[in-house]
Amino acid sequence: MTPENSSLSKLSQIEITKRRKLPIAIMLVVLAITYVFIPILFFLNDPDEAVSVKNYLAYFTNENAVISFVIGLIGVYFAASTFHYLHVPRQVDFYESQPITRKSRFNSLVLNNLVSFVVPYVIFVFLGLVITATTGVNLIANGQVWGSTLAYVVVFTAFYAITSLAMLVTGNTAIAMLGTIFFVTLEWIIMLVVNSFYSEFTFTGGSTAHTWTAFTNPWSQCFSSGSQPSYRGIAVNLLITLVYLLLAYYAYQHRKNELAGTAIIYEWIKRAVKVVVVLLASTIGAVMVYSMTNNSVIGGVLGAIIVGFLMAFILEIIFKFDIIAWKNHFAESAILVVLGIGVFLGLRYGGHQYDTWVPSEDQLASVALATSEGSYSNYYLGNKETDAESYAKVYMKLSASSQLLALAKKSAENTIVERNDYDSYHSGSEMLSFIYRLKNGKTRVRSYYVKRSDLKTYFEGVSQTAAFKKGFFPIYHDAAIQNNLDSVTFSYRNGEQTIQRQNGQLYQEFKQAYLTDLKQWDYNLASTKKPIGQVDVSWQQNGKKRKVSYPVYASYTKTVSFLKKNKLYSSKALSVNKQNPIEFYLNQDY
Amino acid sequence: MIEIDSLNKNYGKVAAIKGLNLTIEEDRVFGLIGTNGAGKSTLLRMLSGILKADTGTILIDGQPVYDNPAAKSNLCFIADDPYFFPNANPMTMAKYYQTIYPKFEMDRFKTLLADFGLDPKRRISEFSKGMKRQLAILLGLCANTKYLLLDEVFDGLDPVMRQSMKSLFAEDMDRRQLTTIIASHNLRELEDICDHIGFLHSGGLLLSEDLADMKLEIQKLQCVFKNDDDLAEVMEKLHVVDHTTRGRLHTFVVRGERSEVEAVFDHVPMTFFEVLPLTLEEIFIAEAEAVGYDTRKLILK
Repeated sequence: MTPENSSLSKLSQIEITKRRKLPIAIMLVVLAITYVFIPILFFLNDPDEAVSVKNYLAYFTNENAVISFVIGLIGVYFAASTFHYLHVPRQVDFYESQPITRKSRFNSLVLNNLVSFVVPYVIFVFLGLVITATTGVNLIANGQVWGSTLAYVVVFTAFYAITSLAMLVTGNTAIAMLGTIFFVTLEWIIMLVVNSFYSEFTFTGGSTAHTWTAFTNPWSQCFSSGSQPSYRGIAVNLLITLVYLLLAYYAYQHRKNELAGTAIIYEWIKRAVKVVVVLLASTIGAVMVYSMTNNSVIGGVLGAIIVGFLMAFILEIIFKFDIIAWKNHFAESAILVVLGIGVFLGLRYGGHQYDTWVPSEDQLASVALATSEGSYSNYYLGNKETDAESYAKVYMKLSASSQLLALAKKSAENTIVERNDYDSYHSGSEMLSFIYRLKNGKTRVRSYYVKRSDLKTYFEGVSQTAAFKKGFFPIYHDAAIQNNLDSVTFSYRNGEQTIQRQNGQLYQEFKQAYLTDLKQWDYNLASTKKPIGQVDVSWQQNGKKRKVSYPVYASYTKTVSFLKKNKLYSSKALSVNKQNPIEFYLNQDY
Repeated sequence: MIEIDSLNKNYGKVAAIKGLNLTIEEDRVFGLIGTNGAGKSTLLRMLSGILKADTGTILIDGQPVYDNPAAKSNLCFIADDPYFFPNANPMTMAKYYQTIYPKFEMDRFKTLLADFGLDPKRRISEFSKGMKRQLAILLGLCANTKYLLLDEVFDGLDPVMRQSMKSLFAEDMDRRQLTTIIASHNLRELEDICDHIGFLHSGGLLLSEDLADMKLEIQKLQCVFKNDDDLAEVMEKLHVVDHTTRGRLHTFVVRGERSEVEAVFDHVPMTFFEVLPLTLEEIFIAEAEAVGYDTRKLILK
C-alpha cells in the first residue's frame, strides 16, 4: 500500500462525529437531565435532603439504578446507531465501497463511540458534583463517587460491546435488539432453570437461592456490591467488553454484505440460538405447568410441547421474516422439544435422586448440622454477620458416625413423605440442614424435615459431642471479642430485668465458667428444660455493634455463681410468657 | 484494467455469478447488460469490493479489490438507489466525498451542479428521483477516480440528460482516461453511451465486444424484390439472423460485412433496397444467437 493509499484507510474522527450528531445530542440531553437539572431541582425543592451526604452518595453511586439503566441504554443505542448502516443494503453499498478497510472502520467507529460517551460523561458527573457542592455537600474528591463513575463507564462499554456483537451477527436492527436481550439475559434464564431444579424438583434443596452474580450481565455486575463500586464487577465488565468487541470484530471481518436486511447473518448462529432458546423455553414451559398442575408430569410434558413448539415456530418466522416459515426445520423443532421434555424429566428424576441421596460413611470426611430456627445467638465470620448454617460450615466438623447417617437417612425419607403428603406436611418435625463434606473435597447441603422422635433417637449423642458445640456456640471462636475487650458490654437478662456491665475483664471469667457448664448441654437438656436467662456479650468491631448470646440453665452452676459474684444475677423469677424458647429443641409437650 | 478470472458468487443455493471471465480495458464506457437477475448488480458490487467472491479473482490494476483500500481508491460506485445522509444537501455530500476521495474536484462539482440546475444548498430529500441520480453521477464523476461503476443509474434519466452525461464521460475519458462501467437491463438506454458491451445471462458472460466491431459484422437491410422467387436464393447466400416480412417488404438482420452483403443483392432485381442502422437490441440478438442462445426466449426490452 502506498503512503497515499494508507491514509485513505483511516476514517476521520471528525467526519464520524459529524455523522453521529443525533445519538450524541440525545446522550447530552440525558446526561444534562441526570447530572445538572435533577441535582438543581433536588436542591431547590428539598434543601434538607440536598445537604444530606447520604442522599447525594446514593444518587451518584451504584445505588442509583436509574442511572445504571440509562447508561446501559445509551450503550445499546450508540452501538445500534453505529452499525445500523450494515442492515440497510443501500447504506452498505455506500459505505462498503469506500476505500476504507473493515478493520480501520471498526476501530475508528468504536474509538469514536467510547470517546463520545466517556468525555461528556465525566464532565457532566463533575458538573453534577459542583452543583451539589454549592449545597454544602462536597463530593468532588469522593472516591466512592469516582469509583462508581468508572463502573458506569465500564457498564456503558459492556453494553456497547454486547449490542455491537448483536448488530454484527444480524442483518436487522430489531433482531439485533432481541439479540442484545438474548446475550444480556441468557445467564439469568439459565439461573432460573437451575433454581427451579431446587425449588420445584427437590424437597431437600433448602430455601437458599442457588444464584450467582451473572457474569454476562453488566447490570448484575454493577449492582453486586450495593453502593460501593464493585471492582470485581468492573473487571468482569471490562472482560465482557473485550471478549464481545473481539467477537464483534471477527463477525464484521467475516460478514457477508449481501445478507444485509436478513435476520441473522450466520446460519450456524440461527441453529445455535434455536437450540438454546427452544431447549430453555420448553424446559421452562414444562416447569411452569408442572408447578401449576400440582407437580403433574403430564402437565409438565404438555407445557414443554406447547411452549417449546411455540418458541420454535416464532424463531423460524423471525429467521425468515415470513409467517409461512413457521414449519421450517420442523423435525429440528420436534427434536428440540423432545430434548426439552428430556431435560424436564431429567430434572424430575434428578430431584428424586438428589433427595434420596445420603453419602456413605466411606465418602464422608465430616458433617456439619445447622437449624434455621434453632440458634441461641447471632453469628459472625470475620467482619460479617452470618447465619448458623454458614457458621457451622466453617466450624462444625462432626465425624461421619453411623448414628448421624441414620438420622440423615430417616430424615430424607421423612422429608419426601411429608412433602408429598400435604396433610402431614411439617407436622411433628423440624428442619435440620446437613452439610456433608466429602473426601473428594466437595460439599453437599441437604435440608431435611426431621421427626422429633428421630431427633431423640439419633441427635442426642451428636449434640453431646464437642465437635457439635464448637460449631454451634460462638464462645469457642471468640477472637473478635478478645481483640476488642475494651468495648465489651456484658449483660444478663432473664426476661424480667437486664443487668449490664461494661467491663471486658468479666468476659474471661464468664468464658471459663460457661465452657465448664456447656459440657452438660445436649439435646435432652435443651428439649426438656428452659433457660432461666441469657447472657449477652456485646462489643464494637470496625464501628459496628456486635452481640452474641448464651442460654443459662438452672443447672449451669458455674455460670450462675459467676453472675451472682459479679452482681449480674437477677433473682427475679422468669415468667413463662417472656421466655423465648427455641422451637427446634423444645419437646411439643413441654 | 480490470481482470476477472473464474469468478463465482452464490446466494445460498442460488448461483449469482458462475465461472465468469472478463477483462475490461481502460478508457472506455463498458455497458454491462443482461436480464433481471442476470448478475449485473452482483458483479458490479463485487467489482466495487462490497461483495466478496466465493471463488475466483478480481484484480483492479493488478490488485485484489475486496477490503483493499489501495484498489478501491481507484474506483467509485454509484448504486441504483444511491444513499445520501439524512438532511444532507449536495454540498454536504461533496464534502464527505472529499474526505473519502482525496482527489475530489470540488470546483468542478460546483460548476456541474450549476450546469445541471441542482441547488447546492437544497435538501436532497426534496429532490426528484432523477435529480438524485444526476447528483449521484456528478459526485461519482467528481470523485476523480480511475473507474466509475454505475448500477442502473441511467434508468429513468431523460434522453437529454443521458446525452449530457455521455458528453461528461467523453470529456473525462479524454482528459483523465476514465473508465466507466454501466450496468443496465435496458439496451436502448445504453446504446448511445457505451462503446463496449458485456452481456450477462444467468451469472455467465454471453459476450463481450466493442460495439463498433459488432456493428461492422452485423447488417440490417430492407428490400422489396421485383421477383419474389429471388428470396430463396438470397436467403441461401446470406447468414440470416432475423427475417421479417410486411407485405412485400422484407427486413433482414444478417451477419457479414456490408460489402459482402450488398454483393449478394448486386445481381438481384430490386424495387427497393436500403441498409439501415442497427439498434443495440438487434446486435445483441444476432450475437447471442451466434453463441447458441435462443434470445427470443429471453425477456429483453
